[in-house]
Amino acid sequence: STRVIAGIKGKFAEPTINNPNSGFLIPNVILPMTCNTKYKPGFPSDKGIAMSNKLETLLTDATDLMELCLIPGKVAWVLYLDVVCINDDGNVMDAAVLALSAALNNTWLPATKIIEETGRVVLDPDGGKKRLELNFIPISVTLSVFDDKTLPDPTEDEEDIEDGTITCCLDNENNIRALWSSAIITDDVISAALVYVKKRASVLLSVLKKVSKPS
Amino acid sequence: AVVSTQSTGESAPLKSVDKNTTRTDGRKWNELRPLFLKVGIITKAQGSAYIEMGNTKLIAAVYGPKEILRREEFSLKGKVNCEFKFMPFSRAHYCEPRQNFEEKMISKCICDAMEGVILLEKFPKALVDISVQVIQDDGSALALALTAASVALINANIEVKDLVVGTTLRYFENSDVLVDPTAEEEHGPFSKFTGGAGFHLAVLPSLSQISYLKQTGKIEQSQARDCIETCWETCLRLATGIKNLLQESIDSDAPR
Repeated sequence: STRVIAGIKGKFAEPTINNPNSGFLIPNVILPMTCNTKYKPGFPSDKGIAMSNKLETLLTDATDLMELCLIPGKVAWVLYLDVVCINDDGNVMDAAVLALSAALNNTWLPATKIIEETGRVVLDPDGGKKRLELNFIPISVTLSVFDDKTLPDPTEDEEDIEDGTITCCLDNENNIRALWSSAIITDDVISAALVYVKKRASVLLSVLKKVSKPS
Repeated sequence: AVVSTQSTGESAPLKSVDKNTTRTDGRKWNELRPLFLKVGIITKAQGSAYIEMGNTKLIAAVYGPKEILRREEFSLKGKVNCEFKFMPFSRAHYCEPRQNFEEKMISKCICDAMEGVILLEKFPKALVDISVQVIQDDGSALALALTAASVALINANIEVKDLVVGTTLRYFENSDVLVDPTAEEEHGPFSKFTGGAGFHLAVLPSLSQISYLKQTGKIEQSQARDCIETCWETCLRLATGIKNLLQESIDSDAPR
């Protein structure tokens, strides 16, 4: 019953000096007081920041940031990828990644045009929409570790008493994009976990493909 | 459980209004958008309500009564704390994750309104946390937030004097009135929708009392009274539907 909502909002911004031809992808996981009493009112919570950080590393190559640049050095798209949890019953990470991947897969950027006189960029209402091209679709699978046994998709009660967590992110071609482990485990445990992860990831990917709209 | 109210207007005190104008979404001037309401959808909360009115969607969660951790805040009456937030993608512009001034103000409004209805004497030294998150704002967010918060309180079995039902009304200088405005009608950029006044009214239907009233803009006194009466009548219309729904969910012992 863990529920999250992901939304993507686009804005214009000036690219950084180091990367004048790049747009920005800014993931943010919000765990408000709504979803669980363990989060205090007033942002942000540590768990949320940690998750946002993980998402940021996960999505480093997700899309071609050069494509998001409109006027090099002056104007680029910044996409705020926000995931808000409305019910936290454990394993928010998997839900967040799935929601975000689904949202990214269905992002349509409106066309823009440059006004000659002022050099500003505005939205072009007649230009139609362009789909955001993703290099890969990340899917996350989390398991709880208890001694040397693993339990996939932990609920909150299970998370409270676990020894550690293994989170593995695959992409749609079964490459491993990220692997985090916070437990003391052996090689075999990881290998066994990866077998399960592959199966689970394909299930999640099929669900994601079902909700994707072609146009 | 779902409630859908699509009732058209009855007798209206505002005689100057052209009753035949149709709005962009095809409604009449005093027609409400269809309402969807579901309780108990946040399993972690003691009470919760998800409410949709047209395209305005929001969710309210109630945690409590719980112990106040700081000992010096002892009081014979319970305390209420409310947090209202627009999700970053809920409005036309991007909303920062941190609460801005407007959200803090609306939080305080909801807090004040709920303090009036909750029987705080029943739980001294305790705290009730209300959290309202707006998933999509297409107008009338404050009024819906008040309604959702009160339904969530009831779902949490916290004793309240009455249900709180909220409505928004928009009054224009040419005497046009729109009940339950969309975001475009409420603060639209087009000159057609600026000027005039806005009313947010929350009513306790069984007790026939006003729980919360806010008016912005400029309006004549006589027109103001008529506007408030129209809001009141609209709230009562909504209240019957919401009460039936709550009764259903209690009868069917809906899983929380």
